[in-house]
Amino acid sequence: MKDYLIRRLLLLPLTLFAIILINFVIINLAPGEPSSYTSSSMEGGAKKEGENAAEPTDLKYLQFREHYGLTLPILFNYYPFIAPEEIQSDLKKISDFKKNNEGMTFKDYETLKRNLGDEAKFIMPKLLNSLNQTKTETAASFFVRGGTHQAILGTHLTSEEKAYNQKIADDNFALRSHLIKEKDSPEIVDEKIAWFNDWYQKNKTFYDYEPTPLKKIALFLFDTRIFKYLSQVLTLNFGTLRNDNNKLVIDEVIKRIPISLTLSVTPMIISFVLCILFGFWMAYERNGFVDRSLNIIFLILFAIPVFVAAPFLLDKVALNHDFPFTDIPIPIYGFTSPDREFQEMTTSQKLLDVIRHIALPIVVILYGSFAAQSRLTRSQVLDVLSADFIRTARAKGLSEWTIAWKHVGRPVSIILVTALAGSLGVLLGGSLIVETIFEINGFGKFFYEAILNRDYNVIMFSTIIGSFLTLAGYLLADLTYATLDPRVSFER
Amino acid sequence: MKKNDAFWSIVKAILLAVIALFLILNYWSSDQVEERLIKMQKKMDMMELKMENIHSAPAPSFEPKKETAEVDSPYPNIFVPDPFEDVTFPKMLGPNFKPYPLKFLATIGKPENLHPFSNWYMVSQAYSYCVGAAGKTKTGFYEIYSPFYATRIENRVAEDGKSGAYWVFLRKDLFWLPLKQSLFPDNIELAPQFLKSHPVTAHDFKFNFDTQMNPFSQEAAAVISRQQYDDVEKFEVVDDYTFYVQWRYKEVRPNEFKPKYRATLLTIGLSPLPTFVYQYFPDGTKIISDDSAPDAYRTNSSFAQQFTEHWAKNYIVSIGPYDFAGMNDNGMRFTRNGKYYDPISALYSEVEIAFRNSQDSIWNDFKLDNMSTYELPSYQIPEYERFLASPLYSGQKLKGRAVKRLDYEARTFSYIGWNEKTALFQSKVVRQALSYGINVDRIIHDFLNDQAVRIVGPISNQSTNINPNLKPIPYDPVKAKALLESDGWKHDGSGILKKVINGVETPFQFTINYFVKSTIGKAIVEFISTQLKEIGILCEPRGIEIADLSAKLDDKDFDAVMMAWVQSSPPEDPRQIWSSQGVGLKGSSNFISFSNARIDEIINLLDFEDDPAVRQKLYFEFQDIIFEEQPYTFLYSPITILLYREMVHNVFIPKDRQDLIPGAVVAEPLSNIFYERLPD
Repeated sequence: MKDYLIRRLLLLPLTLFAIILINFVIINLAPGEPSSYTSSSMEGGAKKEGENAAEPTDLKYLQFREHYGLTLPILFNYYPFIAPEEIQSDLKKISDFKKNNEGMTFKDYETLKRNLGDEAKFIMPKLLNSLNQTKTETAASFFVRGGTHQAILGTHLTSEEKAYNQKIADDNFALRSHLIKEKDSPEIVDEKIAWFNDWYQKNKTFYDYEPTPLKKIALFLFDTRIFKYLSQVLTLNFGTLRNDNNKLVIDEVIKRIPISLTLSVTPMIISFVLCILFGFWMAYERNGFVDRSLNIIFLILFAIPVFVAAPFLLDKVALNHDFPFTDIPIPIYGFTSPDREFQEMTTSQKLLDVIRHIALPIVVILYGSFAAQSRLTRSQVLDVLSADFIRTARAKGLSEWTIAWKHVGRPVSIILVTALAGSLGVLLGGSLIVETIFEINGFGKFFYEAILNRDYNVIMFSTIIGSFLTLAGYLLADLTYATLDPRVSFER
Repeated sequence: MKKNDAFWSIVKAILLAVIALFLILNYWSSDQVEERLIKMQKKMDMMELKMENIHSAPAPSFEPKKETAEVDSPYPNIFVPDPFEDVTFPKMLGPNFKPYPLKFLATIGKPENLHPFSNWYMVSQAYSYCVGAAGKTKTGFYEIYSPFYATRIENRVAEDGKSGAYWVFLRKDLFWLPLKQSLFPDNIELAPQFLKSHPVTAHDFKFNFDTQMNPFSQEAAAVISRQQYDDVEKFEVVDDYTFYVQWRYKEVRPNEFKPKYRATLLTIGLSPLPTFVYQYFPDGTKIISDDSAPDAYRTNSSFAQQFTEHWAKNYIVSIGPYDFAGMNDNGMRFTRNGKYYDPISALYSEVEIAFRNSQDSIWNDFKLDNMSTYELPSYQIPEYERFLASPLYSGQKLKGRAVKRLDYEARTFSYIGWNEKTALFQSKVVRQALSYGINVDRIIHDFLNDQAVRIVGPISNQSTNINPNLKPIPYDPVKAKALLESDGWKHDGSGILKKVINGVETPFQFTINYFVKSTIGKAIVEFISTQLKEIGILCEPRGIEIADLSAKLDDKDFDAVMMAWVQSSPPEDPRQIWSSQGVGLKGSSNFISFSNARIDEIINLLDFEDDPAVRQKLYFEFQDIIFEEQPYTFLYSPITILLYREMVHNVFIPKDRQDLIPGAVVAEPLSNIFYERLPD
């Protein structure tokens, strides 16, 4: 048992690593980026005049992309090794397209521009070379892009960090003021290029534009999106929300734990108890009226999708109706009453308020699970009832109640416990449809919105924790199985 | 032995019952204590408020405003008085008006953050409760301005007429409200300076301007502002309550120099940004340690980056009429600022904007009477009728909560945009044919329950600049076929038109994108697809998510798209959508790559022309060309159905109430003047 446990615990991080790697690559290769989402509007297909003016510079979203490491390659940083000819050719393609809008599609042009922009800071000497040779506006703009650095962000900066920020602010402004413009005379262009050369010589060491071969290898392996992410995760830093870097992902998840746990554990417990009761009843009344009726009812319930049942209950039960035998109205939205009311309640009132609000969502989450789990219990009970030890128990003269409680209950619960423990990971998923329809801010909605917003940190966190909980759940199920059933052993 | 066991069992049971009872009683008593504490806390809050009111100046009353003394200045004030706001409205309210307890609003989705430069509509709506501008539009009018944060604006033109500046004189009774520590995350501890109120000064206006003009500011509003205020030569603070903005003058005709026509509007639209917050870190130190250079905030990239991710970006620093009371996942709250100089701007004690997931949720809020106004989409009309017949509504009606309805044409238009980069749509004859081939009247009747009107171009039917000579293109498939034939499109028996383009026989086949969650959009696009098939065009509808749709538009990577524009009010600026400058730019609003030399010329002329008659002529010509070119097939402008409860007052179209606002031209209700009255 101990060996088995150690083996499983050792396998856990390896499996997790594989899951992170696969998911990270998939998420990063998926079309669209967090920045592409920023420009869309929640008003649907309508855009407002003045909302979507064009940004003629490459700087749009640059800060955002750099902050999230999106300017780096995913697995290996090959940028410092790009051949000068390739850079030259890309610059020419971009320059040509700018002049006559030909040679590629607009989308390809944008992609090429973005990629070269991302590579710029790793190929500064090559860009300078190209600038000296071609003296073009395009080469200058990519040189400026490579030389533009992002400030150290945060609320508690040291004096060194502040000094660094001032230095890059001065450099960024100076670089930008020397961008070559179409109307510039050849003399001005030459002057600006001379300034770029001078600036490069003065700053190449500070910004490390000419790394040693060893450093290049280090960049190749470590200056990547995956390495940056993993080094964060290993320190249990799961990052911040995409739209507010003052909010930690982990804090946002913790904030939602009570809501999601209530909405997942409560129905799980209720369903566990009720399904055992119904399962026993159906098994003892095998093929009788009760068995068949419950079967039909549960199957009908199983067949009704949540997205049909929830609006129906909202419209026909909650709107303008009270809880049975009371004059307490059935709330239609939220986990609690509005903040202004909830804050003024006592603890017991708060508890009742939550119960009032989750009554309908729990019914919706619960009803579908009856069919599967009660039938599972029923077949398990029937299986155990036909076993020899039950016959022996009956022969011993034990009461039917004692047999059901002591001799049937235990083996039956094993199968249910296994099923429940295995679904531990699902807890984190929440219940998207129920949360959306009942306007509850649980995990389901949180993670779903993160996917729509391309909030990589939240998506990865949900993947990691979801995988961890699933793996831990299965381990727990195996151990519980062994504890409940003495016949199960992990020893060879 | 057995007797002993039974005895001990009874003792155990009694003991357990006593402990349980004790616990219940204990819990009950602590609950009572908690309830009393909450009540005491409330009483203390009220007392504190009363004490504050006793010790500070009395709150302004709801009385008509007194006329301000004339200022001795050789330059006229651009602002004119607003009789409705100054006299009529306060009279309607009466001096004893008491703000209604709660205004509940709901919106779909949650804003990403509350950054002052956010481009989310709901964020700008939230800011409108807390921060205003130098001036505002006179109630019921366009292009006529009244005082707001400034009392005077003078256009001081130099004697030679070649230069000039707008001088702005601010009110002296405006204050930034203190920040609330409780609304910040635990890791942000505010320095004492943030917990005090600060006067609103000209420096706050300049700071806002500088931050927006900083080329490293990436927020959407800043990007737009940089384009709009590009012609500002100088922004100078004269004293704490005076600044001037000098605009570049252009020679529009020989010896006639003018600034941009929109210069007045843009100057009046300037608003303040709290220097006492956004120039600092939470510990009270400055983000730019040495900001003595006059253009420090206009050039510093590190500041712009810090500003984008500022620690207060989920907070709205308020001047009034409402104070920001926090935002969480459920919504935003604002409380009335009783000290704000203009009490009629705050007619509710509290405003709550709830974040909902769907239109249905908001509709349920209205049905339950949580919300007093609701804009009913046309597809919900049958539901609305059912609601009117329900017992729920009958009960509400008896309690004086009947629903009233106001219909008006929205300033929005729907269209099909034809990407002119696609070979199929480069010819205007083809685009005209497509417009003849779509039965818009049937779309309005079948899919919109007749709750829409036809449009002829991008200018709203209600605008003073609409060209009355243009009539909607009728549905005429025969003419559509003839036009396509004249452009070289031929039938080869396959049912699909074909034409040789660049040496390749090309079938008339394309994809039309629409927002997948729009059920009406889907129905309309499918209908259009069926209609176009009748004239030999194969059109495949494809619904996509908004993020993907936006990306496609940004990259101009589509054939045709069904979208809607929310139009601006006069003076309309066609540059954003129709200027050829946007053709080669990612993310430009001219995503169909429309280009027309005369349109570009008109746009440039409109930039500087200030003669109303000439401007109107230019707008008419602009519409004529767009009508001829048919870059979009203009579909319809929806009729907005505004539902409101009977106790909501002032729901009217200004244009229709000349008795209240003589000369009014605005043709949509003004939600800022809606109010509810508490029963006497």
